[in-house]
Amino acid sequence: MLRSALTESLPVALEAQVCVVGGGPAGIVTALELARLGVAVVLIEAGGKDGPGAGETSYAGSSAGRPYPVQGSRLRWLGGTSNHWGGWVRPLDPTDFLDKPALELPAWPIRHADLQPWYELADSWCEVATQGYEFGQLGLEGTGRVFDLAAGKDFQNGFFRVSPPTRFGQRYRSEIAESSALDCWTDLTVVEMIQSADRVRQLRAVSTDGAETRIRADHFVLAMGGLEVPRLLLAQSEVPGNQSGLVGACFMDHFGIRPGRLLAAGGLMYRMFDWDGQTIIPMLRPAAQLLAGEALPNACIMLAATRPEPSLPPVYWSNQAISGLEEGEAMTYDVVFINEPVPDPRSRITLVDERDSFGLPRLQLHWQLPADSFQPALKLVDRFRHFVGQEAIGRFQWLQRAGLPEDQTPGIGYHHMGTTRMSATPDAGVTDPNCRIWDRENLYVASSSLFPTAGYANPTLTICALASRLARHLADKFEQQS
Amino acid sequence: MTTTRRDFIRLSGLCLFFSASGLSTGCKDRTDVFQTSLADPQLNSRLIAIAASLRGVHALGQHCLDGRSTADLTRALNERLHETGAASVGQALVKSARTDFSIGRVIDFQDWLLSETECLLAALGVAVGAGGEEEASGLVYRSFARVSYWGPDRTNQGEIFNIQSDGSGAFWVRLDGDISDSLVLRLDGEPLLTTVSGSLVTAVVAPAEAQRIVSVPGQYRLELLDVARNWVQPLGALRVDPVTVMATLADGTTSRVFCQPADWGPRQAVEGQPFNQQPGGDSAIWVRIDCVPTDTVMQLGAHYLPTTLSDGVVTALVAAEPGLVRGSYPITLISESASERLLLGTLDIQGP
Repeated sequence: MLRSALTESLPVALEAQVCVVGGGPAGIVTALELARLGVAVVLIEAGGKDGPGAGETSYAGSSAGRPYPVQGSRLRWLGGTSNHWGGWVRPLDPTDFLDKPALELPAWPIRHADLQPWYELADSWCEVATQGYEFGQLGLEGTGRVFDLAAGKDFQNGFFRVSPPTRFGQRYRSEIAESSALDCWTDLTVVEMIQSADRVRQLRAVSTDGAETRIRADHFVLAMGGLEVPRLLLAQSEVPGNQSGLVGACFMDHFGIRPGRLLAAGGLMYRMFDWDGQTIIPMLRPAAQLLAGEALPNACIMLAATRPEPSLPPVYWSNQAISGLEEGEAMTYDVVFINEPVPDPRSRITLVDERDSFGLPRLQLHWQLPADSFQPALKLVDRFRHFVGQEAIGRFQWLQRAGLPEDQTPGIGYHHMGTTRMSATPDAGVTDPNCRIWDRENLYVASSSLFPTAGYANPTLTICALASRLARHLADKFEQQS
Repeated sequence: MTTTRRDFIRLSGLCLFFSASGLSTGCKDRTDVFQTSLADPQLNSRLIAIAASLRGVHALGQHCLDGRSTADLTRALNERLHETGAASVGQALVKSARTDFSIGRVIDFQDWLLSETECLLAALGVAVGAGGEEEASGLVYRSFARVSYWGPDRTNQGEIFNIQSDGSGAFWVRLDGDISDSLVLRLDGEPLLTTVSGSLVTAVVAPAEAQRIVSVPGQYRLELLDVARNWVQPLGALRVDPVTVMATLADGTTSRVFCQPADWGPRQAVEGQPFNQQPGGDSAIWVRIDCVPTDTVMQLGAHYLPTTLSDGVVTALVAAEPGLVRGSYPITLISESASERLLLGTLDIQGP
């Protein structure tokens, strides 16, 4: 069922086996996976079915530290931010799950292999071909569209798949509406968690016209995104999962830099295009052995053809004596690095005194990304600029050798991650490896806020994989109980 | 005395530079030069010939020359190439540059990271005259993209083409094959804000600029520009058709068939003298008007005149004899099929 708290009579209480809060990709996947397994679910969406309704200003917040557009990109209605998602899809790399010397806190308590089956399911949720992400299968080498890079080289080809993109609120609306196990309410905002020492007993939720209800369930899943999940947790008198002060901490977003230009063969397609019946986005990425050997952050590298640079025009690379190319044109490309952020406890969401119309304190984000934090990424760029020379595939020109001043916002992905990080032990995170908040028996998170580290890949696929995995975990618990 | 690039071509006995222009008959071809063995006694002259054929090296070569002579540069290059152990000069050049990057034998030239080997080669090239000509080249008109269809190509005066929600106008071009993201649409020589997505190129014209364009009828050429290659491919033109304003008849109603005349003449003449005299000696009256029925005739006073209709112009002859006497003569366009009469004004014949 799909109902609005503004147009339907809101019951005094809603009851289900599982309550999922947040109707974006994480919430919809969790709720529908559970419903498909026969679990009774109530799904709560604060916005409307097709628009934000009166609660839109609830997302307003402030920024400290490096400027960050807190409201940017967020959409408060069924489907959440997928309503304007770009559709880039790729799993995290196996190396992204591993501890690294540069990390103050441990990385993932699970491994890529643990998520692999769930990634395949997530592909399906995102409506992309479940054919894997091995670059070699594309048959692009030797076509002149990408560099031909042998295995073992420090940089390798990779690619993103591209979702239609799936607008989760539209694509899965009929299933939400028709599922007998799922009761979805829109225009309903959860404002309070009523808890006992180790459990959430119920949630208090209100509509924009003042109606109020209580939601009772065996288990609760918070799926409101990397900003709203910690905001709701921090707004409670007893903050769940905050035994190490990490609720709201370690905020991360993928940040981009355009460090230079590349002179290389013409016709390279490190950008979105259709190939062999599928839409793909080839990119370059550092090999795992390079990252491990030099403690460098992960990144992906995109190229965009651009105006020639007079000091070294494209025709320079057409010289066989320089490039070894016997024929063909050359071209100048802008080089863009999309970088792995480092989890930093100082990068954190806190609450301020001002409250929104529902009585919830507004959030403030202190984005800790000092100028010197660009250095690892710039070191990787330096390796890349030598690499292209060593491999005789191009020449690199610096445009940005230093980190961005702290009063400027770099290119960002609007990927809000890390604020309820998953960990192997309670001292290093907020949730356990099963996404359960460490000190609550029945409170879970489905969101990119779980990510202890973030790689460079857009988070939606991993969000869906974790949500599917969580749904299976909860369904198993019910099965065991019965 | 400075040895020129042409001298070196001649001295080396090679025709590298002419192969591109189809003048390679009787010369060793380019590939052969790069396959020259490092043991070849003519290695230095081959190197000079290769350097002289370089393009796009002017700035770099000047930077790297550093007062060294051709002989110094050739010797230094020769040493570098022999370090590689490669079989041919082509392989050795590339291998030496790759080695430079691996062992840090690099230079910083305007923030480019380059190998010392290529720096030497570019310097040698400049020393023997390479690199100057091509670098001044501007946009090149050529067909480089396969265009499936594009639009819009037509609008009416005052109507913004393919209007968007913010009042801007927009063009779209559908292409086949791989598309570079360095494509930009140009309208009348001005680059537009362009987006390349998949096989579709779209571009918007800001509201004020779009309004300016559609206010003036005419043809505005649309081109596809590849800024990375400096290529331009004409697509066609946006045609802005003038708005047809119908004339007002004497009774105040709007004509169904006559457009509002843009102009007509002459309006005055001198008694006994021809006006707007034609080759046969007759006088003539003209009307610039965008639309008239095909049976239109002109009436001057009470006289129907032999009338000719052409694109946008109506002309009528007034016989030289007998001449018009002084007075004011109404000029009217008449369509019997439409039962309409359009009074233009009067021709005033004045005394001599």
